Amino acid sequence: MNSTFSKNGFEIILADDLPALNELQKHVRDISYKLIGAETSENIIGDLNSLHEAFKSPEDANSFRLKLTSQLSNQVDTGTKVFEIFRSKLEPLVGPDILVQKTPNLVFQPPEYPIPTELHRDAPANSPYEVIVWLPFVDCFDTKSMYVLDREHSQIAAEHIKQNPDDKNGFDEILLAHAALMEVPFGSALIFWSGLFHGSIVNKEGESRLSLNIRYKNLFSPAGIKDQLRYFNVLQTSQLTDLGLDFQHREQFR
Amino acid sequence: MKKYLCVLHDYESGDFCEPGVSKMPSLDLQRKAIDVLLQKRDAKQVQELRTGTGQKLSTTDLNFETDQFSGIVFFSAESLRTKNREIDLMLFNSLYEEFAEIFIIVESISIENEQEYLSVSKRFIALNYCAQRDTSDEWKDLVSQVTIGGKNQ
Repeated sequence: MNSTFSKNGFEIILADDLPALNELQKHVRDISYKLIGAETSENIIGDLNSLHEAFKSPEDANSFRLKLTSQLSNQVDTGTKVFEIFRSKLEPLVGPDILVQKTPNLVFQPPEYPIPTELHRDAPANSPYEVIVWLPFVDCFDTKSMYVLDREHSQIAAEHIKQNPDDKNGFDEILLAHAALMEVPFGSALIFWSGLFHGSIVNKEGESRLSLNIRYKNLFSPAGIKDQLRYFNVLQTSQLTDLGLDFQHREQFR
Repeated sequence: MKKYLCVLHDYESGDFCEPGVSKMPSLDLQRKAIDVLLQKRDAKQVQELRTGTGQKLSTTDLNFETDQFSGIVFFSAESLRTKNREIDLMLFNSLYEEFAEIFIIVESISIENEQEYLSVSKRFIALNYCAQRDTSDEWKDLVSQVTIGGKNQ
């Protein structure tokens, strides 16, 4: 279990509960089509693949994305739902006392959209004890997907920046040689460690990419610079932790 | 109409310490955020207190009749933090004894009953343990030992 994750810092995992994922995908499609004022079809994935046809500019597409994020957050407890869908892979990583990012990020990447996600890694400033779930609502492949540098090469890249802060070409060479575009079909998710470099490039596949990313970590893990009270909610705690915290509370305030 | 005591936090000027937030929230911006909450609750602010860096709220700041307030509204939990980033649990507990409702806007914390109070209070206990550990020399020493290339590698 998760040996690939341990070695590479990422893994593509299958949903434990595909019907629940299908339901979430349909919900996202329904909100999206209500926002653009279009009729839905029987083909949910087809509807999502062609979402870009409703927008004339990147600004319109981004405005849609923000509204979709807000409405989805108001209507669905996405953090819990995504965790339940992939529980068997996530719980062994973060343990039974779990924090979940308050609001998931939705990313809408229409074909030829000129602003892909820039290369970055979450930690630091996020905690290096976080796992990111990247969940596409469509089949993602080639440029329609995202890329990651595995653990070994993320470390090499980080060292390179540290030693040669002005050598952008050298850094790009590491990236070009080792970054891998992920093939993540709908029904699965890419999970990756917050210390990995990742990003996306211009989508040349002629279909829209709509995906969600959300972070999980242990309640007792170091916070990083991002304040856990501000960015994370408690998703669940173990019975033992409940007893311990209850005991501590009584000790302090009885 | 409900009446609330509101607490603003006077941030040091400059960039916010977290990525994605360009600057520290000004006092005016904080007042606007509090106004939105008050309007939603059909309430009004009757008194304003202010905290600052290294100057959290203290029980001695509440040297007036608190019975007139339905609750207390914080812009941020920064107003409850000690210098080493822990939440002042004794202060938080005494606030709950004084005020029926506690709201903290930035952290989306809303306390209107005992269950909500206990849930938040226990989270603060866990948070404080983490803050104590993360700033301790013992923890730094442990991390340096187990880090790749560290003392024990």
